[in-house]
Amino acid sequence: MTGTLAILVFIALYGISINGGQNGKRLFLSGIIVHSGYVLYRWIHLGWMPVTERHDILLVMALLVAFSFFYFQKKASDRMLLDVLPLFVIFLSFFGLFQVRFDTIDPNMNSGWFSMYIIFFLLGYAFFTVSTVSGVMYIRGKWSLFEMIQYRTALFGWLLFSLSLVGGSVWFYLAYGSYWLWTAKELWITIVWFYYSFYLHTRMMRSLSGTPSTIIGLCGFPVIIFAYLGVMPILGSPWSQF
Amino acid sequence: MLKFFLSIKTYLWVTGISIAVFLAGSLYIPQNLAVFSGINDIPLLSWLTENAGDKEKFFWIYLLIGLMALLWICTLICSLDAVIKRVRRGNLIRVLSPQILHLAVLFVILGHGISAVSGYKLDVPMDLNIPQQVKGFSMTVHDIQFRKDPGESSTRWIVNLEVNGTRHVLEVGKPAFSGDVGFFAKSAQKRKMKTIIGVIYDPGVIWEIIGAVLYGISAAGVFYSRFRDTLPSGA
Repeated sequence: MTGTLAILVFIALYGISINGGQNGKRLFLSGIIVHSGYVLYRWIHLGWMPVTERHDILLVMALLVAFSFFYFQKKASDRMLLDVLPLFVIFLSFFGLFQVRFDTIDPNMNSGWFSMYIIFFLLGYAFFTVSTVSGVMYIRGKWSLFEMIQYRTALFGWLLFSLSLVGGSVWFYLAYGSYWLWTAKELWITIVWFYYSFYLHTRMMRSLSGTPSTIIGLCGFPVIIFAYLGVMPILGSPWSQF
Repeated sequence: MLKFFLSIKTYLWVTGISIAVFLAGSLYIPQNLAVFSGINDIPLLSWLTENAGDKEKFFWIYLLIGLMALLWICTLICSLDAVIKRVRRGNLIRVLSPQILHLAVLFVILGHGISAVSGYKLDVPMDLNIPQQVKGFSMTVHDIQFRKDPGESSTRWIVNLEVNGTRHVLEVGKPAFSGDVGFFAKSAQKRKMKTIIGVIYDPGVIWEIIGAVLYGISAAGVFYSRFRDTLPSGA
C-alpha cells in the first residue's frame, strides 16, 4: 500500500511538472528523488536488484528515462523538455503500477546470464524511449540536433537490445536446451530488432533522411511497447513474470 | 545484379517485408496452437517435412527462410563492398566495427539455419539407478536432490547423472556436456524420484556463439567511435 502511494506521488509530481517552467523542473527533480527512493526500497525489500519482474522492470526503465533529463538539460530549454519527457516517464510508470508484484524469483531466472539479459534489455528499452523523446522534440522544433540524438540513442538502444538477446539466448539455452522458440513473443522480439535495424538504415537514404526517418523512428515506440506489454494479453503468448 | 544486392533500397524492402512476415507468424501461431505445438521439439526442417499437410498454415516460414537467405547475401555483399571502399581512409575502428557487426549477424543467421536442418532434441524420462541407452550414450541417474533457496518461488532439483562412465551434477540452468551433446535436467518429481533428462545436440550453437562474440566486440567498437562524434549545436 505504501509502495503504491509512493508510485502515485512520483507520477503526480511528474504530471504537474509538465509545461511548468522553473517550478516544473523542481517538481520533475522531486519526482526523480521519490522514484529513486521507491526503486531503492524495492531493492532492499527483495534482496536483489529489482529487475526480475515486470512491475520493477517498468519502474526502473521509467527512472532511467527520467535520468535522461540531465543529458537533455544541456541541449534543450526546460520548458521544451518538460513538455515531452514527463509524458513518457508517466506512461512507463503507469503500466508498472498495474503489474502484479511477486517478490520471488523463479530458480531458472537466478542466473548471471539472465541478469545480463534483463539489464541490457532495460537499458536498450530506455534508450529506445529516450530516442522517441528526442524524435518528438525534433518534430516540434525542427532542430537537427534532436534528429541526431534520436538516431544515436536508437543506435545505442539497438546495440544494447542485441546484447540482451545474446544474454537471453545463452540463458535460455542453459535453462531449457534451446536458444530460440517459435512463439508470438519471440517473433515480436525479432520484430523489434528488425524494426530498429530498418530505422537506422533509413537515414542512409537521402529521400528518407530527416522528417520521414524521424517518423519511422517514432513508430518504434509502439512496437517496443506492444512487444513487451501487448503480446501476452492480446496475442496469447506463454506467460512470464518479467 | 551486384547493384541490386548493394542497394540500401533492397535491404530496406527485404527488412520491411520480413517484419510483415514475422507479424503474420505472430498472429498465426497463437491461433493454430494444435498445428504449431511440436515446432520447438525437433529441428525446423524435420517439423516442416512431418507437417507437410498443413502447408497453408506455415507458408510464412518458407517465406522467412527465403527472405533471410536474401538478407544474408545482401549483408555479405554490402559489407565486403564497404570494407574494400573505406578501409584505406583510415579510422579503422569506425570503418570496421559496423562491418564486423554485420558479420556477427551473418553468423547468427547461419547458426539458426544449421539448427533448423540438423541435430536432435530428446526428452528421456529416467528412474533412479536404471541405465538407459540413448543415441550411443549410456546414462544412469544415481541421485536426485531437492532444495528451496530463499527468495525462490519453487523447488530446484539437483540430478547426479552418469554419462558413459563420467559423473555429472545437473542443476536448473546448469547442464553437462559430452562432446557437442548437452544433458539437461528438465524436471524432477520428488515423490516418485523420477526425472526427465533432455539430450540435445544442436550444431548451430557454436555458430551462434561465434556471432555473439563478434557482436560484443563490434558493439564496443561502435559505442567507442560514436561517443567520440560531436553533435550539432543545441536549441
